Amino acid sequence: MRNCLVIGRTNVGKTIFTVNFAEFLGLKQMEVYFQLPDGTTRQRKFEVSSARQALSGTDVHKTRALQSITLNLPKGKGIRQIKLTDSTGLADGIHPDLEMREAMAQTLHELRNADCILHMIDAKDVYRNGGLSALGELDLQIAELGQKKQGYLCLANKTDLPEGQSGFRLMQKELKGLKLLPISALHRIGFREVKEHVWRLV
Amino acid sequence: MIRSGQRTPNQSVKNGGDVIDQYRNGEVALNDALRRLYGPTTYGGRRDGNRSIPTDTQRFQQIMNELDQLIGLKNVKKLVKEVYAFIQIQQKRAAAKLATEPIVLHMIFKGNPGTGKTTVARILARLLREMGVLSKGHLIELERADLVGEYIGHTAQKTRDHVKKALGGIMFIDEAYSLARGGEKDFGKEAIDCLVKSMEDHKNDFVLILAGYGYEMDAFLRTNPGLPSRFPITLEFEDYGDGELMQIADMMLRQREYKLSTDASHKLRQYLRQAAAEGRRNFSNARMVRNAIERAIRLQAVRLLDSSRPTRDELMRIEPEDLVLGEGHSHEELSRDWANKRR
Repeated sequence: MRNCLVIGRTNVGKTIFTVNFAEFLGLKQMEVYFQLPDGTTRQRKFEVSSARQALSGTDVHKTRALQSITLNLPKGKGIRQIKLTDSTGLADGIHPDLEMREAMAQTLHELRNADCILHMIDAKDVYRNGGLSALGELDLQIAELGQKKQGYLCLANKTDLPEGQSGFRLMQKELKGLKLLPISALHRIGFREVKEHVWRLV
Repeated sequence: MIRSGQRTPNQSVKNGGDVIDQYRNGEVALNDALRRLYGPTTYGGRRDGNRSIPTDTQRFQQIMNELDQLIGLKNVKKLVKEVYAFIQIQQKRAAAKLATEPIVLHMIFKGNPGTGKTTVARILARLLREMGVLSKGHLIELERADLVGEYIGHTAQKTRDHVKKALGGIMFIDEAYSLARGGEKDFGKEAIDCLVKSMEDHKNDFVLILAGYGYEMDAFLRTNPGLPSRFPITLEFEDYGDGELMQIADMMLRQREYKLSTDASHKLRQYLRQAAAEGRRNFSNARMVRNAIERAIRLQAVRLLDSSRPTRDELMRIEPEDLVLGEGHSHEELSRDWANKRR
């Protein structure tokens, strides 16, 4: 089973992408494994609609644990499984809150182990700041690390917004030679391409 | 299925026991952590380096005691404690990756002769070394003649040489106002300009202390508009009161294993009170006391030479007739003594 990690800054839409992508792949009921920073784990079953409500939100740092969903993808005659892990958003510098640092440390740990990285960037923020590097070093570093993995994909989220479109064009200039996809996690735009990419990995 | 349920905290520490742990403890920024996530973890060495910085508290305490033993100088002691606290907290902040102020410690010591400027500078040099601010902690004492050259261009060269020698320590320029005294064509100005430049360039490497008498120093600082703002710390050395001077006299005598008889003590106090009241410009505070005491010791020796068998008590006691105060201390003698003591 492949580990696929959704990573990015806080509030770029990692969780809503995870839930919606799972639904896109045909999941009605999701079993979410929570790995808390203190080492405990728990498992909860959600309906897709309630998962969206319970897991995602508009505040920063809504997600504070690794949340994994196992997805089934048809491949050949059988079914292959892929673990899609949603992670705590990262932030530049040293986060003042110990709890958040622990959660982010968990994300880093997962980053090291993951086979495939879905790196999510908020295209709207890129446009507002006038470029990806203006946001901070973080995204460029993740991109660099991600390229060491077999399956790295950079997702420019929020491209349903006009600002997001412009931001995506900015990102294209800055991240030349990387796999870059414009998506909208909320409106499920571009999911088919993501699915194809993930499928190829399995 | 996901086996992560069995992941215990212990395991997680073992797996990510390097950069990730350091990030968790708030020791490195996330960006650094990411940079080293796959690379070699070079942080261990640096962390050990940080650990060795903490001051050798015992020696530090010893020097602080030395400072505390100085009589009077309340504001000086207060400032030294401030500087100490500031440096400690800056180091802790740096360890916590917070923004730190660069530590600029250039100082101006203002005070009348004999108020302890040089003594405090010497203690400060050792103190700063113990705190880890100065790498060497030596003190270079300079005067105008050391800095000012003989021909055009010589001054800057000489000054720069001295700055180079002082790096890692304290450069103490006594009677600094004399640099600005010579008038428009004087080379002293060149020395000042050169110092201003080097104290900016090497502000982390050395500490420049300018010392001089209050009134003259104020005039000196007015000669170069950029000068006062480059010295964040100004210390005023106030004149000692007669009580403090008596304490100093007692301490000096105790160190030399002498003591004043009651009458001699009375005489000295009387004289000091009078001198302080007159506010004499040539009155050189603690140095005057020291000179008076050394002179008294000599005179006592002459007096005792005649007696065949002096008792232990007599050998220690200084009588009023030994104390010759005021007379004989001409201004020239004082300044000559001053020059000798500078070494």
